[in-house]
Amino acid sequence: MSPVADATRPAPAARDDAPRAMLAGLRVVEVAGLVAGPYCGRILAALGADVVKVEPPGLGDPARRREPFLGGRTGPEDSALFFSLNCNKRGVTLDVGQPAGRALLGRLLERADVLIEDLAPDRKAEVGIDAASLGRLNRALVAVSITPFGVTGPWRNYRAYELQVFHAGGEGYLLPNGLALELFPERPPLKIGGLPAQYQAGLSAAAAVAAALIARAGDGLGQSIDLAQRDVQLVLSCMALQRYTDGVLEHRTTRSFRYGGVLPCADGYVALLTLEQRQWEGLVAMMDNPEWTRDERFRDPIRRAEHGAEINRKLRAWSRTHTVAEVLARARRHGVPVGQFHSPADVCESRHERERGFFQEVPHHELGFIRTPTFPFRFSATPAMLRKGAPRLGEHNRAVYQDELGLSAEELAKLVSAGVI
Amino acid sequence: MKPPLDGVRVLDFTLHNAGPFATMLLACMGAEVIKVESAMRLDIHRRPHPVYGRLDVPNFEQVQMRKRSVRLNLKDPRGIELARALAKVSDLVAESFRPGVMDRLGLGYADLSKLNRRIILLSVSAAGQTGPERENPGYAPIFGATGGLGYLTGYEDGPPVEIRHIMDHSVGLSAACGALFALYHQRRTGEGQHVDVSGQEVASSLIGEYLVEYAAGGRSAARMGNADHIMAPHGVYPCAGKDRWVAIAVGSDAEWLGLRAAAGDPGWASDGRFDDAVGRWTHRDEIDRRLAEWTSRHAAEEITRRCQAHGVAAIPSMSPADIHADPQTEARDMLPTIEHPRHGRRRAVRPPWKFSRTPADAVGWSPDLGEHTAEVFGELLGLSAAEIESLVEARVIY
Repeated sequence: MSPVADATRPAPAARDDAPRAMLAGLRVVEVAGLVAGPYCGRILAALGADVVKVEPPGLGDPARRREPFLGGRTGPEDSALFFSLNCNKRGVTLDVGQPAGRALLGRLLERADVLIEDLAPDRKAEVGIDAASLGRLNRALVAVSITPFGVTGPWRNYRAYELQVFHAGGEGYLLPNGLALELFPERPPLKIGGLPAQYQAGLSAAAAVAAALIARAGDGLGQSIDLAQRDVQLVLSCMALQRYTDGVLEHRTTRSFRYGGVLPCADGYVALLTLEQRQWEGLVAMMDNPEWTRDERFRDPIRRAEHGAEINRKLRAWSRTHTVAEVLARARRHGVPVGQFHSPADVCESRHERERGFFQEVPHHELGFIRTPTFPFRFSATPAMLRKGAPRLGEHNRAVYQDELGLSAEELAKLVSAGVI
Repeated sequence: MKPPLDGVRVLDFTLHNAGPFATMLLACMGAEVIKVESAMRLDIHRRPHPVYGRLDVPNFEQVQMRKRSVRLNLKDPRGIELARALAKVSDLVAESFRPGVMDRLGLGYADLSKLNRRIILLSVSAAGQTGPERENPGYAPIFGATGGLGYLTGYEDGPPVEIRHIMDHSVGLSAACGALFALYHQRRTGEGQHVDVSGQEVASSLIGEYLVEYAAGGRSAARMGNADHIMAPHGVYPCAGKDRWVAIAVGSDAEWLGLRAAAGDPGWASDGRFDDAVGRWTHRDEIDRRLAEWTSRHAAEEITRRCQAHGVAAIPSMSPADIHADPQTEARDMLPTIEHPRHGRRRAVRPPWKFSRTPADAVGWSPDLGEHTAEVFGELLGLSAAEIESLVEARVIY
């Protein structure tokens, strides 16, 4: 199949009977970079909010300079990370470190419903967006702060990237398990691929904003929310933290599935898990009832768990002689939970996801339409729509500062030359 | 102040981890969550889990905290009638059966919206409610694999890795997020809807940039261990003690200078090849070896203290025991102690958001099986004690 960026593909026509956007009319200001804050903003933007992304003049959001890039280009408008996180938003530049920049930010916030920001805890008051200042500025504002460790506590000013947030959260120490651990027992603990802790923080921030909007629908009052990326990891790792209180210290060497997990096939890998007796019976059947499965040691779940290593040896020997497609077909026939480890290409080419409409064609100002993932919840009455690509740096300066805040062309030019905008 | 979901009632048919995590978050935000379960097929945390290596049954389950539990036999038509009666007086129904099961039970969105046009149905499944693979079964490691996240996780030269509870819980977090926006829309317009959450799409959403990279004609990304595309050093390094590690990342020249200072300005680090980001990334294996020699002589906490004092991102790779003892967890009250009249005391994990006005991070115990059966059927449906008793005898409440 050919790559899916296609400049000739037409934009989906806007229909009169198109469902109303859920958050139409909601004004959001995003003073955040990289992934967590922008992912929160992206969710609101896809649901119809007007999200104005505020970036530092000059370099803009650091995501603009991060891999992966679009089609081998490496300019500030070419980051796949930036594009995918910022579609549907408008973009302005503003140096919030300068007094004139702070004043303009204040004017944006006076008329906003939601602020998403990720400034370091000690910088918030300086810029005038600490909880107390915001409360005076706009009592209806819902403001969410996203920082690595939160705005309180002894680690509040600790520096952290994805790697630190993840390893502070509990899951990092427990990875890898299963096959990867057996092959490389001496290697360091492992992070999950990509930047998932940042996305999970963005999702949590969006959930918190929705809850605060529900509260505001009752009494008209906003509030501020302190969200720590690390705290998100703690609640996502709650099973291991709970087990510790049950008296069990989980460790990557002891929490692997007793049997099943990652199976190497002739041409790739699958994950397999049989938690129920009928699923084990299906597994035996899908291997054509080999002699070894009738052994006393594998008769019930407890004994199978005790002899899991033996089962894995046999299972992997079997799977290595079969292709992924064969294993999947047999598993489906016998009701065994199995899934292929899909590469990004596999996910993009998935017929299932195409039919579900997981991807939408989003316009890029030079590359045409790029098939972009929407997000993991689908609303029947108020679907999310990614209609516009990510803003170029400062693309909407005039629209926002002149047309909406009422600055004159001269004032705008002065602020630009002073490096404020 | 009242919590944000005060007055919201959730009827919860979800099982295992993903769905229950979502409704747990709603319960912590103040919703009344009624967990519908049955002795006929106990939820996973109410029975031993040998494949996971857990043979006991805990008396607390984090993902069920603050819920009420009722027993109901959905194989009996009278059980379905009671479920429909509860849905009629609820704001949201949550379920995680295979797609199609709710329809067969007469509890699908079409049925429920006829009973209650405001109702939100939150469906959580491995692959979503539509599409050719909707019937595929799935546990976290499976939809973590099919969604692409598992493929990108692993050492560069090794196999992919199964993603465990954190995958389930990411699905739950996504589902809670979707539910909250649907509740906001319901509050403003009175309109309900069906919210479809796919586990594999949750996994795919966490690697969105790599999907866009490929879709725009680029490569299909591969596993890269603990490495980063542009940062170096960027890894997990051995420390003094058994199985102790520290995660260090350097994202700028200033941070590199900070790391050199934290390490006591060793001679090797002043090599001009390491002066800029490209040089450090090119020679990252060499830097990693040198850095490990330094880190392995000190405790992870000491390396962290020195690095952070110089503005360098570093943190120990923290075990559950470390987290239960760290001062930041304590200061933010993330593992509060809860108490139960019979089960005693233990610690729960708090939801991650701290609201200034409407508290949204309450914790509490998880219910025993059917603990609230009499209260719920009595209060919400007006059944008498005798009626409830006869439904128990008839194994409708079972």
